Amino acid sequence: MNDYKNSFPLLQRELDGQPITYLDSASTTPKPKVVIDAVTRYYTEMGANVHRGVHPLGEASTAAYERARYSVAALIGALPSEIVFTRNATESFNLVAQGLALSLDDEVVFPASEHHSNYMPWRQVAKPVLVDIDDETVPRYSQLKERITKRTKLVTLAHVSNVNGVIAPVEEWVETAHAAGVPVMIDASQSVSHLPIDVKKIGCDFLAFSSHKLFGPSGVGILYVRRERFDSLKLYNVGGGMVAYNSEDRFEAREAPFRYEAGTPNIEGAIGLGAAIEMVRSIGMDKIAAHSRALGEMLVRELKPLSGARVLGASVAPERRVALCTLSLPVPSMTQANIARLLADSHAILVSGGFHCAHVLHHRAQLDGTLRASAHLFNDEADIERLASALRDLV
Amino acid sequence: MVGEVPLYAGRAAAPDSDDPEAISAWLSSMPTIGKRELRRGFPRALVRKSCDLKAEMARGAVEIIATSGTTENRLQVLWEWSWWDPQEREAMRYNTRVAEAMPPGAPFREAVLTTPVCGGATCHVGNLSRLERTVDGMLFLNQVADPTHWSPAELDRMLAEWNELAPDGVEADPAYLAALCRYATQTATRMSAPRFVTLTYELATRAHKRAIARAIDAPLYSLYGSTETGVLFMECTEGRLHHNARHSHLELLDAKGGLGRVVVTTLGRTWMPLCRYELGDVVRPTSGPCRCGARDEGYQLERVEGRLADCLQSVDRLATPAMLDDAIDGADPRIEGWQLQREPDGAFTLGVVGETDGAQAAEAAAGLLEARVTPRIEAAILPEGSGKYRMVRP
Repeated sequence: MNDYKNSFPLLQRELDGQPITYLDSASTTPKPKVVIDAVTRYYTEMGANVHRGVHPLGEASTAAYERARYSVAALIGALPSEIVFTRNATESFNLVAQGLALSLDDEVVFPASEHHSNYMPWRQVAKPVLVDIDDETVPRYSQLKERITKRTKLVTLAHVSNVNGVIAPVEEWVETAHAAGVPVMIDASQSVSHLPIDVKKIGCDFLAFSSHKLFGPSGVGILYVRRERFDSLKLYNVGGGMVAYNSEDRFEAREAPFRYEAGTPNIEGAIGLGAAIEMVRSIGMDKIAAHSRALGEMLVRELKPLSGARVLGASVAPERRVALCTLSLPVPSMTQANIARLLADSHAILVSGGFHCAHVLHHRAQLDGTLRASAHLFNDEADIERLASALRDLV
Repeated sequence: MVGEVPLYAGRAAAPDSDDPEAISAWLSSMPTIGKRELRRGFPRALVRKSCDLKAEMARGAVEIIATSGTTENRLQVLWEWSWWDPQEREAMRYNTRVAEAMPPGAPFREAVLTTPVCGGATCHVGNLSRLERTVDGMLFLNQVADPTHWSPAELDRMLAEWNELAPDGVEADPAYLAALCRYATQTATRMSAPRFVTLTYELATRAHKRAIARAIDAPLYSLYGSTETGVLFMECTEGRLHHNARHSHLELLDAKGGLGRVVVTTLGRTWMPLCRYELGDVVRPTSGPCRCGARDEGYQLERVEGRLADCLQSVDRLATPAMLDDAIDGADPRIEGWQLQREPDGAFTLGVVGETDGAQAAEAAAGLLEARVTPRIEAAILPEGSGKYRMVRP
């Protein structure tokens, strides 16, 4: 798999004369050349707005943009009409939070480990009801049934945790929630580039992810909405592009998904995302998943023995995690963010350090920040050995 | 005509004779024109010097409409109902069953299901009422640019209107009608049976016809032509396509392997007369008396093979979209839709929609093309900006 490293111009960079070891894909993935080329091609060969142009460049732009929607749909087993382009996964959650027209005493159930993007939007419009996490920060998934009440309007959870890398039993949660008549939203931000996803098989009602974690440009998000759910989803942003007709006394919104896409979208970003998806589809999601699982297992195996290390989700079976490992490493007078910076400065190894937009998880686990290493298809065993060796020297 | 129309200025005048051979020789001495020439010269270079376009447009006798070709092939044309309707009806009556269903002067209920571009519903006017979508007695059913975006409510609305109208005849884009019929089959919604359905606007695949036949108990006939040329061929009850010879002179330029490229000269057209216009399609001609008994006065086709731009040259032959469809559907009839894409390395990806992995179909396409073809499951096939589908993306 490490042959793919050459496809990413960013990975050819050096820092202070050392080649970089990129282990921060959970923050954002580097962009392959096919994506950069697709974005450039839009600027040099099309360059027009979408859904408006009657000239050939407008038609070409629209066709390329809509082709990206079809690629997204094919990747997750959805219909193109079920795919809404947003700015990022956060906006996708906000769209559903606003669209469901919740009231402050309505309840939304989710694990205490969720990323802020799948926490704050619910907090603003409803009452969050948290599913507890264990000592390793893994949600106590079996609590779901007892958390659902008559006031529950939605259940939501990350398919893969952005902190501990554990794969959630999403199909079981959907079954439990649906048995109680409650719809389910999935945060696929950390799973979509690591695992095959089939929304029909999962059975979820909504699913969100960001382009930039799937080798695509930033500024583009995806919201999957099961077709029948559009009926209960109110309009979000309004303006140009989402209207079929507007007069002084009435307006008609366009059909879904366009009615949720007001204003000129990030056209080049969506086209770049389409190119990224075609790349991962041509590699094969099963192949990527196997590689991710192997690297995840190696990360835990190499980092767990470090002196004083607390690896989150370490006891979870390798087949239930992706290539992401978060740990707390006790180094006197250094925060986890300091350690991350030191790895970059001394070894050109790039990882995350801090709270990873999951404050509640860290509070509950009594952790003052953590260090996160996240590998992907262009990483190999040597990258992980390099990280482990650098950390061994440090502790 | 050539002396009157600026686009044809400088070309030799027509022979002063009705001898078909002399006329053919004169025509074949002239260069062909294509969509590029029509776009560049539109509209003035295409109007006879004696005609006052502005006045006729102000009177409402002539209008400008856009064709619904693929992105590179779209153009605007001068168009008048007074020309279109008679030549279309005349062509349709080559089919005896259709002729019986629409006797001249008798009431005739017709539904049209195609792209909104063809249906005229492209303006930003919101959803149109059924009355607003009824033009000259024809009900235009569709208002959405991509059938993938038809919601269940939209599909239910179209089926309800179909059944309320109970059309005598239906004119449809096969891809759109197949999508509506699949939904009707899934939801066990009965569709009122018209006396015939004409499939036009684009090539009908075998899967389209199967899906339609499953939901509608009516004969399906191909009607082939274009907005700029009028109807060129109509399929008869015996499955042959007969030339609408009174309205066009045709040449079928040799495309090898028994195929012909269609070149049209319109006859008797006041507005936008075309002289040796290459339509960009490939057809398979046939000959000899037809069992349907239609008068033998022009070309007959076994079938339309598809757009020349979508044909692929394998080692020793041209593979047309229709041939590819035969191979793909013959190998795996579970495929509802397909699109072949040429990759930068010269191999192909076969995108397939249906309950299948597409492996057998890819193998069959590979055999025809003598190239590597990899199957890939797609959620749906993306139409072009015009709403029509491209079967091959070379």
